[in-house]
Amino acid sequence: MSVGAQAAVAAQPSAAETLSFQATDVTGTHSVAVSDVQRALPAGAVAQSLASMMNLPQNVPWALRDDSTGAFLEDAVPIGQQLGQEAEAKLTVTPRTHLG
Amino acid sequence: MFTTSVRMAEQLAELGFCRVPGAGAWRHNGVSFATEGAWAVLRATAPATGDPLADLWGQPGPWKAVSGSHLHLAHSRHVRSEDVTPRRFRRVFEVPLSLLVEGEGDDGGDALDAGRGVSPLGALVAWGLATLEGQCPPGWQTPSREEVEARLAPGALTVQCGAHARQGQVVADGGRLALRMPILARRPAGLSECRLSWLRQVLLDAQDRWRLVRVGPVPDGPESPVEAEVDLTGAPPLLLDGLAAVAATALRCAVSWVVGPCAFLAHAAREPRALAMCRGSRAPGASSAAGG
Repeated sequence: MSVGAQAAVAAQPSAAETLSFQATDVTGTHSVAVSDVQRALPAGAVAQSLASMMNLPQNVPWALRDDSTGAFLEDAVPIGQQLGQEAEAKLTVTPRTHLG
Repeated sequence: MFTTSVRMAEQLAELGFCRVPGAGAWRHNGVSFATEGAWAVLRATAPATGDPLADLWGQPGPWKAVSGSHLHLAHSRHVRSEDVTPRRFRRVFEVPLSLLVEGEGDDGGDALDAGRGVSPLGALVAWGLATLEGQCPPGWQTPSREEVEARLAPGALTVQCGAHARQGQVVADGGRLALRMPILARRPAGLSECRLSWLRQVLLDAQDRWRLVRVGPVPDGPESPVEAEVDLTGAPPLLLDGLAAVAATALRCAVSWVVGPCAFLAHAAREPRALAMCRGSRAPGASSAAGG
């Protein structure tokens, strides 16, 4: 099942529910441990705020990659739905690139 | 322009309001009605004692306690602590004027609430007066969460502001309808009295500055969140369509404005000297509490 399809059937996480994870930028230069991130937040908003936290350029669209699966998180889908109950996930902040 | 509309004056008179000479306002049973820019504002006095952040939190309707008098003081460089008088709060209930004229027909008559013959202004006043008493207008039913969310654009309840991201939600449950968004996921343990006082001051400023939005009290316990909300409980259906989108925008603006300073103040590892130096002067929290 695709992430989008999962999002359609999954219960919407409450705004009060939070998760923690470790985030690293794609070069490995910056690493932050993040806590109290709302599970209901779209992954795209989390990616941009992490980029800001790491002083990465804000004129670049950023995406999150789940290190355990290698899959990119969908921007518009709540991060909690994509990481599930994974404890202490590890994510990589990468620029969103388009080939061609 | 609706503010100068003869029709509005007629409607207010029909609702029992009397014009206040020279004030540009109307008054009825201790509640005043006025227009301010693009907003219709109901005002009522606030209790002399009480907490402007806590008293109305969770109560039906967008009533909130505000004080405008501090703003010029806050922006002045030459204010001595002894010059800062306790804030005087009043209760306000604000709705965009555009919602009251929306639906006006070609003949200039206001749209009527189907089957009940209530104009948008009449519905607004009924909503305001009922919720001032802590009640809902008779017969009001909570719409479903999905129904309200359908009125909002995608991302309407998402804030991404620098390193901070927040997601709001529609609360439509148990006779309550509100848009709510966390400012701090939890109050960190071990915050000094000075920082708590400043945190409270910043929250009061946010509540003052942003129409419709009220801000929750600084919780007593360290595990509770600090939140902002727009309460639409009791909102007449003919206003709710437009009001939901305006409320979401107001909530986003308020949280974007306040989340950075609050996160800074709540950061347990920082004890800025500049904040501590103000402890000798009138503590902002103390002035607020004294002002009620």
